[in-house]
Amino acid sequence: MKKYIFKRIITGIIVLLGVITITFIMARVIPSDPAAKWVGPKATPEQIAMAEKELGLDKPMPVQYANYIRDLLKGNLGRSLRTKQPITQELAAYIPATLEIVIFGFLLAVIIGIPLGIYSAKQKDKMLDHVSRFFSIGSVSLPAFWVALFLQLVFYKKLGLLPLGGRLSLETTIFYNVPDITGMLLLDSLITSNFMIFKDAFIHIILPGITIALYPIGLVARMTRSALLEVLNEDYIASIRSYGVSETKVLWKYALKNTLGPTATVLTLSLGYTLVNTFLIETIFSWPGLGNYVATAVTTLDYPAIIGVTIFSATCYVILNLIADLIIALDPRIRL
Amino acid sequence: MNYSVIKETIKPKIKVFKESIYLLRRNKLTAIALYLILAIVLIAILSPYIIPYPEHISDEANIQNKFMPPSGKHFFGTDELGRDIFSRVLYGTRVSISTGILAVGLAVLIGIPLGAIAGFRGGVIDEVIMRITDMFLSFPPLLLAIVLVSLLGPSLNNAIIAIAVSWWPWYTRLVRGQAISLKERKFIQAAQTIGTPDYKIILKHIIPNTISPVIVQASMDMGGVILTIASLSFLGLGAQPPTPEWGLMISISRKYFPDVWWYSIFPGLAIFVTVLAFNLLGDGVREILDPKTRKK
Amino acid sequence: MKNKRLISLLLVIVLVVSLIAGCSGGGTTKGGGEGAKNLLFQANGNTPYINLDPSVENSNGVMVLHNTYEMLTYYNYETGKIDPMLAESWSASEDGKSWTFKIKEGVKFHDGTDLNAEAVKKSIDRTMELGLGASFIWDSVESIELIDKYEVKFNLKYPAPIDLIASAAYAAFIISPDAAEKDSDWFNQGNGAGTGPYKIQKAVAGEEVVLEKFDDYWRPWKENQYTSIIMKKVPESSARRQLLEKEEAQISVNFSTTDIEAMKKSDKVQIVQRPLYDTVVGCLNTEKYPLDNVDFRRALSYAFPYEETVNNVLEGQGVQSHGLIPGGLWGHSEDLMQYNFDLDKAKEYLDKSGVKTDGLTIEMTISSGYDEYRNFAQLFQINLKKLGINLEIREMSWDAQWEKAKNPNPKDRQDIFLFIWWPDYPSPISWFEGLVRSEDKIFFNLSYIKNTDLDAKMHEASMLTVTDRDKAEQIMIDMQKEIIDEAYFIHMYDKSATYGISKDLKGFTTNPAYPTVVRYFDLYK
Repeated sequence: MKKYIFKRIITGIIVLLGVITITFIMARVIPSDPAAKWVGPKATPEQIAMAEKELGLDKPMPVQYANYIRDLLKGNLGRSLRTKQPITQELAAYIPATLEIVIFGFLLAVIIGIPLGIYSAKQKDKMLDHVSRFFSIGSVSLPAFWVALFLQLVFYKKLGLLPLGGRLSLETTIFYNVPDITGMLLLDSLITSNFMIFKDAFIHIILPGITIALYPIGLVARMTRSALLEVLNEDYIASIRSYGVSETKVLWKYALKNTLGPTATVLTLSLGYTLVNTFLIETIFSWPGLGNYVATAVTTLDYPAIIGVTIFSATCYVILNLIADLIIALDPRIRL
Repeated sequence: MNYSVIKETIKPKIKVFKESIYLLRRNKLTAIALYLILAIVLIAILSPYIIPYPEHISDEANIQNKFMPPSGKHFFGTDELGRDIFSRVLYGTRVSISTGILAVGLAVLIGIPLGAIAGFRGGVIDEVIMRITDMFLSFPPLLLAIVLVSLLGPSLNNAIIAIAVSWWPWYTRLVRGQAISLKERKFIQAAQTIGTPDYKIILKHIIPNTISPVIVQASMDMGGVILTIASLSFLGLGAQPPTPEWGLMISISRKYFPDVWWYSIFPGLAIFVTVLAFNLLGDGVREILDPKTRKK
Repeated sequence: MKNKRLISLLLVIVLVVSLIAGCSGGGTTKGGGEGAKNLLFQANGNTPYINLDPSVENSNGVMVLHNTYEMLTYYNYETGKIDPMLAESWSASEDGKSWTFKIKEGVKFHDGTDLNAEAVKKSIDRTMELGLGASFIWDSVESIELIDKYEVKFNLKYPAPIDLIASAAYAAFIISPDAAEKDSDWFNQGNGAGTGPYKIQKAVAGEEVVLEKFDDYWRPWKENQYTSIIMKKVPESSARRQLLEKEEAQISVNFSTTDIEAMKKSDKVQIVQRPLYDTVVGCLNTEKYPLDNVDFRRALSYAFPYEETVNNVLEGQGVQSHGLIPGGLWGHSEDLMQYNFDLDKAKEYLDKSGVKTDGLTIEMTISSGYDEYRNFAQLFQINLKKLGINLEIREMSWDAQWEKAKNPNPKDRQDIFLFIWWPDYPSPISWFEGLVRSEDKIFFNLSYIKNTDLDAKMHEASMLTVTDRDKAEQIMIDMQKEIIDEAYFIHMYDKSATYGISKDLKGFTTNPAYPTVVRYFDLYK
């Protein structure tokens, strides 16, 4: 068991190295003349040569690669071509906002997805099951960016219930001291028991949160359903039933806990997808997070920034995969 | 990209064809999905001949007529150049289906030989190929495609390449599994004993025998691929104007949203219906091929 | 079981908290509440700054920096004259190669130090040494000499209008001597020290800037001026419109045409059209077949949808250009010939050119993210299709677009480069030196013009701008005649900016020499 975990962590690190190598190759081979971009328009050849030296681009590729790895280990992702700021610092400023909707969506997926899966397993092949199946598959077939616009149309334009975007209303940002501890507004306002701000932040996170949650909700409901059906077919459930235990108790007490492993795995893995989905919807909701940062980087071809976000997201994804594998490994029913 | 976890557990076998048809008929949602896909493909083929304003695809604009709301004349309204959105959305089916097929096809072309070699040869080659697929699969879905297109330069062709590059490892894994089990089969061992060179065995025996599961898998992937293309186009990394691509149309419409809501809503509906149809079919096929469902 | 309880607990917490939040609201702290009366909010479509280092920034940040820093001189676009700012007076030597500026006394920087000649020298030396951003405007400067405490002399390599250059929108700011020792990172943390009417209170990269009044500003403050300014990025046009309509924002710009139409009906918002020096041209690749053929270029010029672009795409936010120089700047002439949309004439010139259009594809690159460019490009595409020419529109980021344009092989470059040109400092010579002057290494001459006659003329005009402006203007008009006849460019339109401002706002003005800048000191209510 310990050996497996150890082995899995090692392969995780190797895969991460591979990911970093792939991004390095893409970043250095495809674009041309990063030094000229660094200096900007109207640069003289001397300035470009100077920038090349400054950026270490005059050295041979293997040396550049070694430097790149060394910088990464120090948490240094280089500087953005557009803003000339250290990318690590910029990422740190944008990540909390994104993390906030990702976590919000995750919680929604748990609160809605699991019960939905349970009920459709209970009512297998009945109306509710069909509806829930349709909903599950539908939610993974929806383009997130379109859902975002659709929700805005309904809740902002037609009903006037919820704001169009942003993390707080303007009034709040101007007139109140917004706490900044973790950078996640819901959490910070709770810590400082600033309920006025909490309410405002909550109202603003509803639409982006729902948009982002749809995908994991569908996935979690689907996975809970099939895992539960599988468990309910097992022999030990049959024997429990034969003792005359009520069906509700069988479901809640015996079957459900055995489905948590696969469900947790799917949840963890869907986080990676959720993260990337924020890239598509943050600009729509004027949400000042990683997705907004990436969208700007993509339109301005800010390679170092794009690569920085890629490395960050891929690292998260590899770690999430690792966690998912460990959850499976720690599930006592699975022999290794 | 959709059911990354589940996917690995599927081992598609279509040997019991009749039984499948029976299950398909029993499973109404899947049957509906199948009819929907047939209709979508039909629209994709016929769209140039059936749309009310074929000149609005690329030949003509009527800017005086821009942003007309939906009406009997323009079912889905008109866009920023006064073009008929209904015609463009229908024609968009052709764009999405054909780019989807191209992207999946390219991924399959990369994936099959690598998987066949890895599975058949085993050993170090297998190890190397599989570790490379692991690395490619370690990028969150869509992200690798975003990076690649933004580095290659935005265009529909580059989007197709990027999708293929991020998708091939799935087929490599699938084919490798098939190849490993085929390797144990008598006819392959017979071919080996008479000294047939490896490449011939791979080309003549391994690959042809992996084609059908790959096709099943590929058709199930179409939904995800079409969604990815639309997402890339939405980010400005895929199709370029005046191509009537759904994601691109929504991307352009954002500037006029929510006043010109119809410009965003209808292309999105088209994406949803198409992707849903493929995903429903995929889900149904998965259930049909799942031995647990078959038992009953 | 436990999980279920946990979930219910979470739900209850969320519910209770939101209930409490609904009832409370009074008990929270208000920061800076009392100043709210004189607060002004400007909603920008884009980030308010890229870099806050006044020596480096050559982008959006000038809208912050022109309120926190000042230059030696200021260009008055209405009179076309150069006004004093931090310089009281100045004079040039006969040959235009040495300039002396007398610096205003009694001006304080935000950090309390006094403005003097040394601060001026240090600021401009810093900008030149860093060599980033728009520092090239000081290219002519050999050295800066201190004459006495309030007098400074510029020694030049060649004659240049230093009074005008010192008024430039970028790279001409005067910084306190202490701040001039610091690096860009220090400025980007929201620090800085200029002489402007406002100080930076808060700066969040990519998002917002908050300015507050500088009490010791050298011009007197009045009661009804704005003391706090918020500049914030609100990317969606519709969201900015909503802020104006709800009277939460006082100034915003860069709306979609649908939003402008809607705001015209609002009684809270006034729409103000302001001139710019931005000209939109299509640079035609004169080094590549078939655009190396002048008749083919004329055919293209006749096929561009000028009227539809101005009326239907821009909805009046621009006028069709007369030559290179935009209206409002000397060197502009309404008498210059315009190509108008005329497919018959286009066909005529196409036949004359002898170019076979069979399957001919030409490529036009445009900056991504601007729907107006995309829209008129598509109209152009449709017109060209009728001539049998296939126009491929490539939306690219500026970097990628420019890189392609600089490809050593003309065949690998675009055919048409959509270029928005504005002067670094308000002089018409900028268009000629930037877009027309022959270049050994490709820079901004993206029609790749190599015309020695024009080069000679523009040199002459450039020398005369300081000494005999009338003559310089005549030469520039003659040059434009030749440029139009050669059809090096499609002269599309001169841009203007449409602002939405609050009905109560007074004193609102902008200066085309300082694009995107609003000087908040001018505003009152």
